[in-house]
Amino acid sequence: MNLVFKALSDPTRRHILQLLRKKPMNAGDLAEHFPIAKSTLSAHFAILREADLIEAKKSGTVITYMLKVSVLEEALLAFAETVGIGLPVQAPLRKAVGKAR
Amino acid sequence: MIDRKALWVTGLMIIAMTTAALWRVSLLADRSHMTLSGPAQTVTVPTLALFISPLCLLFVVAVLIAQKWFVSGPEEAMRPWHRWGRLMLVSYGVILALMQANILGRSFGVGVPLSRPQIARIGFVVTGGLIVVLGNALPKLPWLSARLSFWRLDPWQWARHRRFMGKITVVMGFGIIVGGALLPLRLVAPALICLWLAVFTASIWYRMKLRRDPSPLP
Repeated sequence: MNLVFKALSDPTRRHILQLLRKKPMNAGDLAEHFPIAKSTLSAHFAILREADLIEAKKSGTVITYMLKVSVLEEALLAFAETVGIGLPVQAPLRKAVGKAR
Repeated sequence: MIDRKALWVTGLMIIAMTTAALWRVSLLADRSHMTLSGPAQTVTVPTLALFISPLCLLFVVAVLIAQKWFVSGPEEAMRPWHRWGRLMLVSYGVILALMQANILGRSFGVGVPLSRPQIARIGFVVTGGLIVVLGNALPKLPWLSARLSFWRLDPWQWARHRRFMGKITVVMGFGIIVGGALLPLRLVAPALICLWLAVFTASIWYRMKLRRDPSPLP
């Protein structure tokens, strides 16, 4: 379960899961949605695979990723998305927190 | 789907429950009815009540064996299905064996100090919990190809169908827990039948819908 929480705590990985909810995608298609290096994205895929949240199917040189989440994991994903776990604190909120201190 | 080990364990449970029921019936003067004593009241029930548990378990085993004839897949895909089937069968078997033991005990004047409605409610809550656990794991189960072409889904359609089925099975499990705990007992059985029919209909409807939608897989 720790692996699942770790995987879901990152907004990029959650975004990957949201994209895979719509349809299976290969690494290239997924990379178009993120302004990050492919090696970083590969590391995210590895964490998601380790947590058993996605499965990869290799055909030739193309790896297609598919979502593989249980009902509880999907609920956790929705919760993490709603609460915004791992997202940077927004500017007005940061100011308010600073004033309160 | 069911593996050999689970089949053996369940088979032994069915034999043990049936033997115990036959033994109890053989001790009765009137073999059609028996008296069950409890903390609140004593009731007379048909001896057929003793055979309900083994029959229920036999039905689930038959469904899982029949399921094996409708799908095919590689051994590594079958393994998670076997684990899932084993969890379902053994847990359900234990619940039914406990119910059977309680009926047998009461027919001898011993048993847990709970009334029949209380035991029934506990049974519904535990069964509902088991259904929640099983439904939660459904979307993780790997793709299998159906032998009948009109029933076949590709891996993507299958994954979506499993996710949908997982959700409605979990909802059904919670429905059984809440209904079993709160509804008047005479309404629980009709409510559960309606719930099961709704889940079954939704499953068929979603399968047909997926087959109409174009799949993104080549």
